[in-house]
Amino acid sequence: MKSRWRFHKSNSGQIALRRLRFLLVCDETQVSPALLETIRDDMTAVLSRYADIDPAGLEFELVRAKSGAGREQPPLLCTRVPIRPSVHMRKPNVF
Amino acid sequence: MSDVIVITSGKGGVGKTTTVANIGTGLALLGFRTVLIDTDIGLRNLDVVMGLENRIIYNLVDVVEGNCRMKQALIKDKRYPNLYLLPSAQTRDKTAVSPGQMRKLTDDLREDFDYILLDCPAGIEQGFQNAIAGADRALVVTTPEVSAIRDADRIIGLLEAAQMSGIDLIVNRIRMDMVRRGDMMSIADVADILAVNIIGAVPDDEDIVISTNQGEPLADTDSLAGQAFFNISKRVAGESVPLLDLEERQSIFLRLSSFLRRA
Repeated sequence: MKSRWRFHKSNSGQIALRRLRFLLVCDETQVSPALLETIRDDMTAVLSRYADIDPAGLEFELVRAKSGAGREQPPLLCTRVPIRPSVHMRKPNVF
Repeated sequence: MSDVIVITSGKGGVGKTTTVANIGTGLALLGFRTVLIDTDIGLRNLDVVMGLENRIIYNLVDVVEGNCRMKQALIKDKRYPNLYLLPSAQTRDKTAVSPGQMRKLTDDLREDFDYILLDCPAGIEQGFQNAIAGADRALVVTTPEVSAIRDADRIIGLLEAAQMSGIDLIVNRIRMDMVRRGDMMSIADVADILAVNIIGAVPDDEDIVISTNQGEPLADTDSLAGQAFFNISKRVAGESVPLLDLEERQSIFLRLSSFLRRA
C-alpha cells in the first residue's frame, strides 16, 4: 500500500462505500450478510434471464429520505442493477 | 433558552472528547456561558484534553451523590472567561449515575449556562443512556472509515428511537489527499450514506496531537482543525458559515510540508 504514490488513482474508497452500503442494509433490516448475498445471487440469476447483467455488479442500497424528516420515514431497499451497455432487453426464453 | 447538547459517536477514538473541548472553547470565545460535562465515568479524559487535570477536586459522581454542591465541582477555566468543566470520576463506573440523575443535573445547570455540552463515552450501554438523558440535541462524530460510519449509523438509529430532535453529523479526520486519490470516502459520501445533516468537517491535523499534549484547545487558532472547530461552534450557535475549503488549503500545507521534509 505504501508504494502508492499520490498520483496513483485507487478505488479503495469506492470499495469501502459499497461494503458499507451492504453492511448498513444488513444492520437495519437485520438480515444476515450471508442471506443478503443469497438474495443477491437469486436476483442476479432471475434478471440474467432477461438481460445481460454484470453478475458481480448487483448492489443493494438503503435509500433514506433526505429532507427535514431525515431518517424518520422508513428507508427504501433499492437495487442497483448494472446492465452491460451493448445489450437490449431480451425476450424471456420460451420453453 | 439553554441548549443541552450530547456529543456521541458509538465508535471509540473518533474524536468526541477533542470535539467537545474545541467546540466548547469556541462557544465560550463567542461569549456564551458554556459548561463541558465529562460523562465517561471510570475513563475520564475531558479534563486532560482541556489541560485542567490538576484542578479537579470534586466530580460528576460527587454532585449526583450529594457529596458537594455543583459550584464546588465546576472548574472555571482561567483562560476562557465563560468556560467551565464538570469532570468525571476516575474510580467509579457507569452504573454510578442513572439517566434520571443526569437529566436532573443538566436541568439544574440550564439556569446558569447557555450551552451544556456532554461528552458521551463510546458504546451503547448505560454510559450512552446517561449522556443522552437530558440532551436537547446531538452531534454525532464520525471519521470517514467503514467501522466508524457503521457505528455512527447504529448510534443515529438509537438517538432517533430515543426521540432526539436534532441530530447533526461531524466528519472528523478528513484527509483530502487520500480523498483525491480515491483512498478515503469524501464528506459528501459520508453524508449521503448516513442521511443526516452535516454540521462540519474537521481535517486530520497534527496540531490536535500537539494541543492534547499541551492541554491547550485549538479553537480559533491558526491551525486548520482549530478553524474548522470554531466554525462548528458558530454553526451550533445558529450562525451560517460556509464549509472550509479543505481541498485548497490542506493540499498546499501538505504539499509544502512533505516537500520540505524530503528536502
